[in-house]
Amino acid sequence: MLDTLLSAVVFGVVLASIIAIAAMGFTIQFGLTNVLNLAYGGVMTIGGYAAYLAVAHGISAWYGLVLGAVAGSVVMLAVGHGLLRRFATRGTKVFEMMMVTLGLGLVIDYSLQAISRNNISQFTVLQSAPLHLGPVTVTPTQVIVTAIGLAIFLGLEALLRMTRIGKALRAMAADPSLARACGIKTRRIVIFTWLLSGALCGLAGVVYIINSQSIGYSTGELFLSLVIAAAILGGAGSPAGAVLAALLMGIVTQVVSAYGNASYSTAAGFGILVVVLLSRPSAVLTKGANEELALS
Amino acid sequence: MSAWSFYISTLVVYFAVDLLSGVAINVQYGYAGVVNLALIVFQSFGAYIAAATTLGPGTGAGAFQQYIFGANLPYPIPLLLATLGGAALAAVVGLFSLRRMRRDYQGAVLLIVSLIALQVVTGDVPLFNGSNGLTGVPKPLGWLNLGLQSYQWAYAVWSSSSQALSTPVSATSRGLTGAARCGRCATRRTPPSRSVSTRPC
Repeated sequence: MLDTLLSAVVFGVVLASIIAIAAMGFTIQFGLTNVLNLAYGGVMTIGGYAAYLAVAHGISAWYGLVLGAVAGSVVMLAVGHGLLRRFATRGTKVFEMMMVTLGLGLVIDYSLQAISRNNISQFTVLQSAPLHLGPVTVTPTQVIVTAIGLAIFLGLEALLRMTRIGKALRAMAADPSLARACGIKTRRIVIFTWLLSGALCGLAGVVYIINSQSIGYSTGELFLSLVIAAAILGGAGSPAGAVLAALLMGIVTQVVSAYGNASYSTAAGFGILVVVLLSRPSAVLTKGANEELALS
Repeated sequence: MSAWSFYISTLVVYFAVDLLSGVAINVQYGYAGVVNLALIVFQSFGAYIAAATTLGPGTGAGAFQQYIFGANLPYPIPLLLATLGGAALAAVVGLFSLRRMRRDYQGAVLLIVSLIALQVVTGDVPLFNGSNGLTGVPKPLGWLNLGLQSYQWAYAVWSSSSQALSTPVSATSRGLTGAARCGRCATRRTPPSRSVSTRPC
């Protein structure tokens, strides 16, 4: 009984690592630009496909991770700086921008569906014999996934707190016009944010398909609900909050999956967001005081 | 000729159905300013209720389709139940999604609701037969004993005339939300807009 719970918690932490990588990218982007980017799931899938193609051409999965991150950041920069900025300069507001990204996400998804001919492809890399840690059996892939998640979190926190550009990013997320007045080159910070969040997004896509061992055109889109829920729950712009929310949601999802009906596990993970919205709405909702888009 | 008749009557039916859901989203978005990206969830919930209350008892595992409840109620009771079911679901979802929050947050929360509903329905097959959906739902106007073509047209007329029902509904909401708007806008920074259907408050 306790062993089942322990396994469920460990699997929850693995799932949380994947949600957290994506949610950290999402929350940084959302916190700084105020764009609730629903095309994020599509970019995740693109990152996944980049790694899939790399591995299919005989490149190591480790380079696949890097390629996925690079593909994610390039596409995200094109989306954010190339497209969304143009909408913002023509006066598109927060909500309309969300609808733009929703449409863009559909374009990406269905283009991928056409290119992949609606196939779900297998992606089995980094596999070896499972490890027995006391009562819990984990695969090396799961250990790798969790380690990547932890490394990304620590790296991101260090970047945001110790480097000049990280501090500038946090300053701009807090108050764009004040940051500009202080001589921060906000345009560069926005470009940096698109690149950084895109890299995290692409990486999350690769990590996700490494764990699920398959990729299809809707991979990212189906995962996006958990990512957005974690980012909103953790508070916009807070990677630590996103990680905490991801842990909570990942563990609840896996515990429900272990003890109850697996089809309701994702719904249960989302249930946390509902409970928080019902009980302490101020914890989530006061974050959105500033409703201006910041894209240049 | 009969192909055209079938084609056009089908379009009329779809038009009436979409008009009805269009009125629903106009009441929500136009009058109340609610960004409901989960509208289709309520529409499908009503459809599933109508199916589960007309298909007769579910025959359990091994049957060609499985669903919960399973009753054999005569029309229009299933339609009433579907309407009430949609409203009840909206009340539950509204509990957490109609908080005072930014509109893009609200849109995201409701979008998540729709994705979760999709996962529950496709994942939990005994609920409403999963991604295969339910077929063989009895026709509401089956008692007319019409042929395929005539039934199409009868249904087209009937579904269009159900629009008449929605007019008093939207008129009432206009009055209600007009009153509510005055209270709500006083506490918000955005000024109330005159053209309610295009620029919600």
